[in-house]
Amino acid sequence: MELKRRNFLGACGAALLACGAGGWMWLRERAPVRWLIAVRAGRYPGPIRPLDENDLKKPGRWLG
Amino acid sequence: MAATLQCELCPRACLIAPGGRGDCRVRVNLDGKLRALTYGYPCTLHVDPIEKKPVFHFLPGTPTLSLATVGCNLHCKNCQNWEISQRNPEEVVASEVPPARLVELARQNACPSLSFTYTDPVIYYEYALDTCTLGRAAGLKNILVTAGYINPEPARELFRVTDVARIDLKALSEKFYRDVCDATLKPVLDTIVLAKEMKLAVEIVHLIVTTLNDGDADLKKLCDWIVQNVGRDVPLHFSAFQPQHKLAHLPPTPVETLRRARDIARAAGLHYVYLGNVLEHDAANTYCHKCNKLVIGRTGFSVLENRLRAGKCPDCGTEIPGVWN
Repeated sequence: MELKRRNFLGACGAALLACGAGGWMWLRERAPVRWLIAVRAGRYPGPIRPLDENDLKKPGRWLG
Repeated sequence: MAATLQCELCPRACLIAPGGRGDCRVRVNLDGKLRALTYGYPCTLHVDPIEKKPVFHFLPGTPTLSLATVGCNLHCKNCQNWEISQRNPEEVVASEVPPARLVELARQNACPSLSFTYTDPVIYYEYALDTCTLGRAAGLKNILVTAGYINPEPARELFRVTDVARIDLKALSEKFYRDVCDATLKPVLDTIVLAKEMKLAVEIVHLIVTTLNDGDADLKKLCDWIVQNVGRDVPLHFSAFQPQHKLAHLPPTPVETLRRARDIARAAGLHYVYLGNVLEHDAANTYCHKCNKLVIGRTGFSVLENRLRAGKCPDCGTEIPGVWN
């Protein structure tokens, strides 16, 4: 089958577009999104106990 | 698929894959959002004397509500609080205390200030920022006890609601920061200069670690940098190292080394030099830099005598820099 010049250029253009879109999606997945202010996680992943307000009145054992 | 995030809070610029954590252990990538695991969950909360921070030129003799969450963005081999700074939240018990409750607790316990201390407030940045904002609106003062390893933009934002920056300058050596702290020096120096430019009360602590940063030349270089960049009136605290964590094999800092450091600092032109973590009779006293008379006498974390008159030396009338009441 004879490939006309117009069809050939169209196929090349479509292939380029597909490569570009694929590359952009690949980069979007891998390039990091910059982030400064974190949002609250909402749930502490460790053990939780109620605040001891008597213990609070004593100086802390840690330096600083 | 969620994206990888790059945390821009501190100079580490951690790349955090979905489900992963930053180097500080408390900033996580959940569902493509950066989340602060310890927001509202201090692992330690106490009323300390302000002198324990140490902060000597700001409301002396007052209590300060002091808190920390688990984690840190530095990994100092000599860390004295490593049991909370080098742990994951899963390993350390915390209590739920939202910012508004912290402000209430400070008032209930007659604390005129809040201190973000023990670990580095940089890693619980959002919690510290919200609490400082509420605290300031309620008339409280805010004190950051930090290693200063933070990017300038977030530092500026936090300093807008901060009154005191008590910053560690661990050495004036890139090698020391790299080998001992797993960090870099320049961001710390930039933070100190920024705090001074933003008119915060700045106090600097230099922990002298035996054999690693106790040479005369190192100490002189550090003091000269302070004089040239933040001025002679910035209080400098030399603190004694206690064998801890990954440097437990080194000996504690001898008191003679601290005295030598104080002599070097005074010779460099610094006006207010203190010794910490050591029992020395005049280690924590404030003397007038003009007439050399005692203006504030301290022992340990207690103020024994405050002779200041409206912020001035009662003997020669020289103004002593600080916020005194």
